[in-house]
Amino acid sequence: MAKEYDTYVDDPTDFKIKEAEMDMIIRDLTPDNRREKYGSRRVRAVVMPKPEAGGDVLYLRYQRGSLYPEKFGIKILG
Amino acid sequence: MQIFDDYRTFIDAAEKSGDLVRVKEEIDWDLEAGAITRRVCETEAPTPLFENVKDYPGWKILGCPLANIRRFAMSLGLDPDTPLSEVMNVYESRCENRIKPVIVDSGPCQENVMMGDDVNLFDLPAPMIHDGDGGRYISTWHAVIAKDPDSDFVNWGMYRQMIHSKDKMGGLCLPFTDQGRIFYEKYVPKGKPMPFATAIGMEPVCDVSAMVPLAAGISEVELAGALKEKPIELVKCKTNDLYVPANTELVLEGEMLLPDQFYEEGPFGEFTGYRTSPRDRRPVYKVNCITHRNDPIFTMSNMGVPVDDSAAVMQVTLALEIKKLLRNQGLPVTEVFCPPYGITFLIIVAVRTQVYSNAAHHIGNLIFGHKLAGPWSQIVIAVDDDVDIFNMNEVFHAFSTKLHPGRGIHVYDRCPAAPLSPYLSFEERMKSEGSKVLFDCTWPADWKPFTEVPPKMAFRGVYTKELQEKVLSKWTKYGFKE
Repeated sequence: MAKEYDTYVDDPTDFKIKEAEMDMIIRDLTPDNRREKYGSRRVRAVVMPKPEAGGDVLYLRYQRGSLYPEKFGIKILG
Repeated sequence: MQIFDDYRTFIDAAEKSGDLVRVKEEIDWDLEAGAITRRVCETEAPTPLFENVKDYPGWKILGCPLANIRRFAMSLGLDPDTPLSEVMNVYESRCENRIKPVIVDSGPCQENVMMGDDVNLFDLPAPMIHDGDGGRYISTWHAVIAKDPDSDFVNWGMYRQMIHSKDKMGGLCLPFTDQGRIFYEKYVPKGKPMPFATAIGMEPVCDVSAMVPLAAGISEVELAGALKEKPIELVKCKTNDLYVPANTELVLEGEMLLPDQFYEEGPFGEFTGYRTSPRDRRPVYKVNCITHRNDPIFTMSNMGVPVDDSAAVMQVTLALEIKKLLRNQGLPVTEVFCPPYGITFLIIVAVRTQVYSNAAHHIGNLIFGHKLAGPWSQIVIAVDDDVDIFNMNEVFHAFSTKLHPGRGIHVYDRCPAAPLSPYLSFEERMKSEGSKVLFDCTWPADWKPFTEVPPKMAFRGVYTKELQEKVLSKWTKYGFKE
């Protein structure tokens, strides 16, 4: 089951161009226990311009909370 | 009416007076409770008590409990129909008699205790309040309690806190606030974390007190005692030396970690009506112990476009703190008001007419230099005391007719400013730097009363008292309604 996460960035369009590996803080939007939704953790991850088929999804929000309309892919490395 | 020992008795009274709705439907903590409370604030509807919270059986959530002047009046033990002016009089008179708290051996707030691996903030029904907020804000109507390590001073303040993980929260504790000073000036240089206790769902006067911007060194718990007209009962925390109100619904005990462990916090929809401050690295609160009452009630506010709890309470409390500040300096001030739609940014001051030149400047300098009103207040309108400053129509009339566009507008540049101020540029926000403005809508003191000051064409000003009384006494006889 694909997981969904989000994170806050300065400009989501930066991530539309190519894959980027980075340290980031993500929020879990689909935890096994719903009570833990929005819990955050620091990860090393690859962010992809589009989600892979069946892969995990990343949503991006601007720094003041507005949601960028397109989905991205994410591969958590650790 | 009674002054409430906790929100349970407040809820009963508010239900009887029609100021509370018990919501039996299942409500989702994830945005639905926030959406309802936001609409309650914007329509001045009764406070909602959510009795069936999704994922959290056994918990209730009380939304925006003091978000209008009726419920604020009730928190002081007054009838909800008490007019604003009377609420202000009662608050002002009680403030003068601060009462020390008493320590009790035990309290309902510790009926349930979780420590160690049992600490899990996700077991608490912290709502996701606004879509896009940086996280679940557990502390929006509460007090964060911390002590100055070099004195007996204990500060209670309403500093927001957001859940990061099962035992960590982020917060906005700015360096110019009381608790920011304690943390950054007393604990950080010594390399020590700051013990804290967050009390959520205290007795209502304690929430009022935690929100008031008091002069330096004044105890919020003693002010709460003054408002209640009896001592607040405190109980010692389980894991540190702080004390919390014994009847509190939920208490989080822990320590604020040093800046090398800062973590991303925010953004959050704030009392300004906007989500202004971006996500940023901010202090982390590590929670070591959670205590709560049986059948707990979680209190939340929903800050945003007025009128929320902050605007409803601050229109009285901030105004009277500023009035006290100005009067203590001997300034010719008769009334001060912070209209709720101006949040804390707009302060209107009535000045005794024709006292001395540029009295308004004196007033602006003091307000903008006040430790909390300074950063949080941006605009002062000074009017003569023939203007009813609680009547915005009269204020706008004075503003439009007595403000000299060339000589009456005084800008104060490069002042400390709250980074939550929506109009600031990104750079100004990072530096907490902004501008203030004073609008002097008073007649110049050197204008001669009968030859230079234009007479005001108002019923109360232009006719003799005898004629006014005659007209008023015969008003209905003329065929008009009262």
